[in-house]
Amino acid sequence: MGETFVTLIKDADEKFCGPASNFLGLKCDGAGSMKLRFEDVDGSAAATVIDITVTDTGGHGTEMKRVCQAIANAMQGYGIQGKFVKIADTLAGTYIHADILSVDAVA
Amino acid sequence: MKAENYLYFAVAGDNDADKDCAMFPASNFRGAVTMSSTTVEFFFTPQDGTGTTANGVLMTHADIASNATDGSSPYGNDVHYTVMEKFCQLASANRANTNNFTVVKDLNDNLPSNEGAISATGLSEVTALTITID
Repeated sequence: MGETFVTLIKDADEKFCGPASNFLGLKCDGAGSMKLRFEDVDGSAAATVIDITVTDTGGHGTEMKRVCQAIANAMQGYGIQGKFVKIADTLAGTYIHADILSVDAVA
Repeated sequence: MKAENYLYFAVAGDNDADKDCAMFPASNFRGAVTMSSTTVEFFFTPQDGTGTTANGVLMTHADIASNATDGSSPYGNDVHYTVMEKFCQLASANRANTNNFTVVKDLNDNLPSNEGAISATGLSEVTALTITID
């Protein structure tokens, strides 16, 4: 099966690109705040952590669930070809879901 | 080869504090263990990348002693097994050409209605969740 690669961009100096199969998971980090983690690109026993901000209009976190669904769907790829997905690009202002507002940190 | 399936969990209340919700790839599931007569914990490869201490989702359900007529499990009175079985059905289903976002349990009480997976609350047997991510 073709691998799917995902990209998240904070700014000119902080970007991440990696295979979806290295995704370790995500969690809520507070109201409108999420942390995505991928296996560390340098092979160390740590994770690359990406902070993103999402819409939190009603204070219930429903938009966070919508973003989780969008990320899951984006990483699915295609059966044979795989794909390249830019989940969020704060530099260009483009996101796979309208409730993703920004990438705040890539570490 | 089937696509990855992503498992979503959310505790009661809103998604407004640390670990109120989490999502794990189904392939990172390590196993489940009964912790008491009312709880089962599902363990996943840790999100911190160390590969050591697992992350856990502790699910609370009816006491097996008071659940004499479960009816949904071949083990009859064992809601532990029912929760494990239903989790595995959700986690391992062939998801080709379907949505690969699976709500195992969402206790958020402010979900919209009629929006598919966004409205889904997951396993009916589960009454409480605790998510542990170091």
